[in-house]
Order: sequence, then structure tokens, then C-alpha cells
Amino acid sequence: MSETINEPVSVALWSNHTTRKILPYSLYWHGRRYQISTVGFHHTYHVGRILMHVFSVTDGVTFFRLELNAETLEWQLLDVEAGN
Amino acid sequence: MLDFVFTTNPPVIMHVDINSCFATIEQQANPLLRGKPIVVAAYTTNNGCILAASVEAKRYGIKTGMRIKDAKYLYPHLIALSPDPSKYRVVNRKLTTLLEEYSPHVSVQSIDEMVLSLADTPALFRALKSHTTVLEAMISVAREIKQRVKEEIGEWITVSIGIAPNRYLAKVASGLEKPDGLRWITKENIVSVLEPMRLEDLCGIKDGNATKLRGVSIMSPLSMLYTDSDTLKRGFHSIIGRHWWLRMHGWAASADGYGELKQKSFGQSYAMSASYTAKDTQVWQILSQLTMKMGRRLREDGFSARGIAVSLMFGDHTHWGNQMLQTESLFADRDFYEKSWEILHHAPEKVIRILAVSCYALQKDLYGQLSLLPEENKKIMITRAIDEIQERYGSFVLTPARMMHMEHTVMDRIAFGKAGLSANVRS
Repeated sequence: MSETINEPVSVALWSNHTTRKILPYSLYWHGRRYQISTVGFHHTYHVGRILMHVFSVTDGVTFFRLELNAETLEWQLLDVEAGN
Repeated sequence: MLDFVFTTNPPVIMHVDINSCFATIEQQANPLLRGKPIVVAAYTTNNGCILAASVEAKRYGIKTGMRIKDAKYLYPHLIALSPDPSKYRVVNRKLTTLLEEYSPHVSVQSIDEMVLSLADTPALFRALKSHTTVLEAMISVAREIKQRVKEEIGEWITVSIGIAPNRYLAKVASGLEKPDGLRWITKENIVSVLEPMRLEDLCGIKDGNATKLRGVSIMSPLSMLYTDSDTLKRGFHSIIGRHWWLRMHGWAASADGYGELKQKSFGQSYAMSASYTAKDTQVWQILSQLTMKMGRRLREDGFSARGIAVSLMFGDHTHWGNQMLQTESLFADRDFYEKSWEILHHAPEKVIRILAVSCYALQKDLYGQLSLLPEENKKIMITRAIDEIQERYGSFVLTPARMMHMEHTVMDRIAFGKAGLSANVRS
């Protein structure tokens, strides 16, 4: 069952200019670091003219949905879901 | 074996269908859901209607259209998710872009279905260098597309591809093997493909048409193949019979063209989550939100409309609807709301399950002429200003006062068919 969070979080991002790929690789939330092992999907949508990037990621145990606001460059953890 | 005529056109049409589209995309996004029975439903409550079931859920007999509670009888640990339309539109756009590398003739049929013609394309020409027949070349292109979908869109996403000389048979072929299928229909194999099928198994033939066909002794798709065009016309009581004869024999029917679908109406609907009647303020608020969404999409495409219609499905599964045709064009949200409210006001006082509003009699003349009436020009300027503000800051940043303290929000949804692809209006 997914739990809505909607909290600002810190995310470390890795970018590769040759493959033109940008991947979040770790997430810091509530004093804990989560090592992201898989980015399932990356998509974008607009709120007005602001482009939002959504990364659906997992550390292998928990699923996280992270959102990057392309205007403010702030990250939000939208929701989490424990695997079973 | 009986003989039949069949087109000599090569099988250059490809129908591409994303398997269990919404559910597969959710499993792509969340690797922890892969291999599990999941569904995407309009609402995740017990009465929520299933929009897509994963391949694993389908193995338990869970299907699109079922209620969650009925699906949970079949598999109690079923995971139900809400739809995320922006994700599905991104996959649709990525797949369209990928297919456009193979052909300039790509027709997007719906959020999960595309058709392309590879006739006279460099992609087919290239494939023919290493294959002796057009069919073999098409199969090699299809295999390449399937591989690229996995590599470039998502490793969990699979497509079923059908190849045939026309669009209809290509669609039939794509449905023969799911998931991850690749099948074709040509003169050589059409008899064996159609032999096990019932009339109702053909896309476009439901109970009514099947009964009509049985009335002229056409009992199966195979007998449609062996019959003549006049018998089919008698069976369908219309020229549609001729279109079916062409389709079944590999030719293109005029009704199946590549032309853009002509927009005839814009509509929005909402499934109520509480028991309200047409007299309740909450229903008027939802109506206001629906007309705003509808109006914005209409204006975005440069239309105005003369007709407005409201339809209701009640809790007792009965329907009610009415419509109104104006002499003047409507374009402003306020006008859409007032006219639809007038219609809704006459609705029976019963609990509403689904509220739908649409506008029709479209004219591509939005803001085309300045009016002699100053109040009309003022309305144009206000509507334009509101649209600009929403374009900049997002939908519903400005709302009519009647929507204050609104308890229920109409969510973004994917409509069936091509209408669902319109994502021009930003959230």
C-alpha cells in the first residue's frame, strides 16, 4: 500500500553527458540514506509552465516516487511503498 | 478447400499494441510490483472499476471492467493502483517517436495502440536486402521494434505486433498472441487463423451484428471470408457489409483510412464518490469543474461550440440525458456552466453515479470575429486572460466562487480512443 509523503528531501544525482542520462542514486530522508538500485521510470509533466520530473525508484526494498521541480531545483518525496 | 479472393498487396501494415498498458507501465515504474497480480482502477476502493489488469492478474481471470471487490474474490492479495495519466502519455509519445523512425505513416489509435504502414519506406527497403519476402522483412522489422521498446522505453514493457496487408487484419493478428506476440495474416494462413474464431471474436462485431449475420447464414468469420460482398451488405443492411468484405479480404475499407479523426465533440465525466442528486451544491461544483476542463480543451484546439449536453447515470443503473443547441457560439466557461446547469436542473432527483457533460456542433472559429456587442468582446478578453494565467500557473488557480470549499476534485483521466491523448492542457 502506497503512503503519501509530500516532503522535501535531499537527493544525490549522477549525470552522464555521453549517454545524456541523469539518475538519482541516493536519497536522504528522516536521517537515513537510501541507496537507489533501480530507476524504474522517469517521466515529466507540467504544472502551468513549470516542468516537473518524476523518478520512480527503488532501493530493492522500498519504492519511492521523487519529484524534481525544474524551476526551483527542489526535490520532493511524493510517496513510498514497502515491498513484500 | 473452398476458394476465395484475397488482395495481392504485400503485408506492409503493422499494428502495435502495448500489453496490459497501464498495469505494465506501473510495473515498469515500480520494479517491486513486477511479476505480481496488480490492477489499475478508476478508484482503489471496493467499487472501483478496473481499467487495466497486469498479465499476472489476467491469469486469475481478472479483466478490465470488473469491480475491485469481484477481482479480490479471484485473488485476495490483488494490488490496486490509481491511474497516473502523465506516465502513460509519456510512454505513448516515446513509442510514437520510435515508430516514426520506421515510417512517416504512423496513426495513433489510442493510448496503447498504433498502426504504421511500411510501404515504400527505407526501413522496409533495408530489411528486404537481407530477406527474400516482404513478410520476412516485416517480421525482422517487428522484432527490432520489440527489442527497442525494451531497451529504450522500459524492459518490462512488451508489445504485441500484428502484420497484414490491411489495418483491420493487422489488428486481428496483434490480438492472436498476448503478451509479447508477433503474428501475421496473409492469404496463406488466413483460413487457419479464422477457423477457430466466433463472429463475436472479431473486433467490431458484437451480439447485434452477429445476429444480423447469422440471419443470412453467416455463422463464423470463416464464412465471412467465403461469402460475397452482396450477402454481407444484406447481412449488415448497409454499405458497411461492403467495408467488411474488403477488410476480411485484405483490402483497405474507406472507413479505415489514415486520415485524422475529425473532432466532433469535447466532453468530461466524473464518477461520484458520494450519494448526491442534481439538486446538491456538490454536484454543481463538480459540473463547474467539468465545464472548465472541457472549455479549456475546446479553446486550446481553437473551437467554439453551439451545442451542450448533460448525461447522468444513476445509482439504479438508469440513464438520463438532455441537450441544447444554441444559435450563438459558446466558448466561455461561464456560458458552458450556465447552459449545462439549466439542463441539469430538469434531471430526476435520484442519486447520481456518473455525471458527464459535453459540447458539440463545433466551429473552428474561436475569437475569429470581434463582436459588435461590447460585453461579448469583454467576455473574450476575460476568457483569454484566464487561460493565459492557467497556462502559466496551472489549472484551477483561478476558479469561480461557486467552487470554493469544494470537497471533490475531478482528476486527470485517460479517455478511451484518441481523445485520451490530448495532453495539451497542462495540469
